Amino acid sequence: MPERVAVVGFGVTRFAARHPNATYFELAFDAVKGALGDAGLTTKDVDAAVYGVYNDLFERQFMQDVLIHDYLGLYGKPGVRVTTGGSTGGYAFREAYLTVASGLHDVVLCVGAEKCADCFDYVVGKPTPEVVKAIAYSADMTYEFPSGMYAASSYALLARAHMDKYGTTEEQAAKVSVKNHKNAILNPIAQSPMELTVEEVMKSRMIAYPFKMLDCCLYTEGAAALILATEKKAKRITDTPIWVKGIGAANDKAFTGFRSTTDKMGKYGDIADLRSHYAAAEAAYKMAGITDPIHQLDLAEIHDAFSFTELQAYEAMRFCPPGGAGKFIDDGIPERAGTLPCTVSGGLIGCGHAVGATGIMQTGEVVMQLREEAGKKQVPVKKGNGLVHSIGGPGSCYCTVAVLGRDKEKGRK
Amino acid sequence: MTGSTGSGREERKKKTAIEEAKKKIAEEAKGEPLEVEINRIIAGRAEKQQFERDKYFEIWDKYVMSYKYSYGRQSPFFKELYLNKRIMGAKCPKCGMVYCPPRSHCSECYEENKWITLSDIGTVTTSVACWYVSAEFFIEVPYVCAYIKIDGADTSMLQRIVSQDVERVKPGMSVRAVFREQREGKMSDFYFVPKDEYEYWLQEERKKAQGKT
Repeated sequence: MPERVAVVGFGVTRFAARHPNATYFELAFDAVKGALGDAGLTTKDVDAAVYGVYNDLFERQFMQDVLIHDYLGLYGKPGVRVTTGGSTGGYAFREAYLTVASGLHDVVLCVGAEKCADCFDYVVGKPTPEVVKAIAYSADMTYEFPSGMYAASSYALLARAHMDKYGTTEEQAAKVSVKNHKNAILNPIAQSPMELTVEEVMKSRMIAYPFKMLDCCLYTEGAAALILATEKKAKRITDTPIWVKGIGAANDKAFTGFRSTTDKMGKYGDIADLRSHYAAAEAAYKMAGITDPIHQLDLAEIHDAFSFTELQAYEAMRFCPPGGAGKFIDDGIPERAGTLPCTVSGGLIGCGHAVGATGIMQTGEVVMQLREEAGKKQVPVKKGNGLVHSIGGPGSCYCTVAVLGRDKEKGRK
Repeated sequence: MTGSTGSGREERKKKTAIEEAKKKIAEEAKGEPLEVEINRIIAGRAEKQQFERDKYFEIWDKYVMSYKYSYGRQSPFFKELYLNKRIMGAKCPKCGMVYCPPRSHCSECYEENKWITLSDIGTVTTSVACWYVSAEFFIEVPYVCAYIKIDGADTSMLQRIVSQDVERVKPGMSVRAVFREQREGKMSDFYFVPKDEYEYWLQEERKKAQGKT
């Protein structure tokens, strides 16, 4: 039997377009300091560390993890880096979970950091084109990148297929953008809090049809850290441990054009359906004993890399049937006041996408919500469960899903 | 663009948005980020480096890598493309799956695949019009990338579609490959065009080739 694992600490920096006065290892340091303070621990109590840093080109540095490890004063202890595109945070959390669940270590630090706006296009005079290029090298360089494939285009192909298969509209996707920008208003660390209208999203600049600028997440600098512990340690550290009840992960074919209903993941659909998301959710729900997510979860943090991606994720997370995501948002179910608030942090669209840190920030958001310590953005917690969804890679091939839950009787420290 | 588009008024609105986006892109695409130009800019700015707001120190830097990249067992695909303007697929002798882009071995059966010549005609699975990209593709926007199932293949390949009207590219559309006269052994050596525009783009390629010689 695996050890029961709890999250006992969370720390996060501000998510900003640029932190000119901090390096990636300094941002990581700030987040870790926050998490240790939250848990009431020092580095002496930490047995091992897992680092989520996505992109070597962003950081202008390979193997950033050893440098962060040194900066944190964790020398002499094991540390490993995870890099799985947008899902780096989600997969780093899974690694940290495994390290504790296996019984190998009692207290594990999980840190995500990213600093992308050091990339700079000299000709245009701004970072964006170079940031976009640094991400694009994640696509297959042999067959796919030479056609001019970028992250937004890669996800837009999936969205376009979803529109064609299910009749999802651009307006329905725009509603996700409006919701998440609005949710960010209550989040003090958010990069892009805004009151918007569907029309404004529709009128924003075209990026890759059907994505307009306001359908896309931001690139962000920031860091986030979590501390995970065994049941025995967790109960000593905190009165409000948040348990990792279920973890699921799956990678679909990175060559999106190879996905078909006749292959091994065919039961989840084709190019229009985010199949790895279905598989990851299924595994996490099975482990957590969730059979009716919409009635057993209090909230879900969705990896809204693009507005359409959040729609597609509603279906994969089984919040609605395949093709039902448009109606799901039309009905207001994922709104803050809806039956299942989704992405209350503002997500990648509203709070920002500091790639390696994003999944860890969103996991932290669910932890704080379940502890009922989320401040102004707190949503009602009645069932005691929350979901975190983290995705990445070309054609959204990576996906991790975590189900977190608190003890039935909630006591305060 | 989709089955659910509304009135003509909405169509016009969308057209205007596209026109505006084109204008913005044209403004930004001042030129290609040539190595020389970058070096000049870095040199010019290095002299003025200073502590901004007396808080942090920013320097101008770049990162360049050169390669001699081997296609390994994918080589026959690129060799045929480069020398003979042919698209090759790879067929699994056990399950019969035809891969394009090809694989030397079947990922399901682990059998060694057989190389086969495929047609230059295919069908669009799904497509995207790209409007915001990095500098090396700035001058080409808006361009269309699409997954295309080549006749005889079981998988779709990502490739550029060039058309006199990018808006008409839709799933199910029949497309044909046009090969560049100046090839480098890269995927960018060919692109697809709507079947009825094939002759036009073939002439364009020939004109380009004559212009260069």
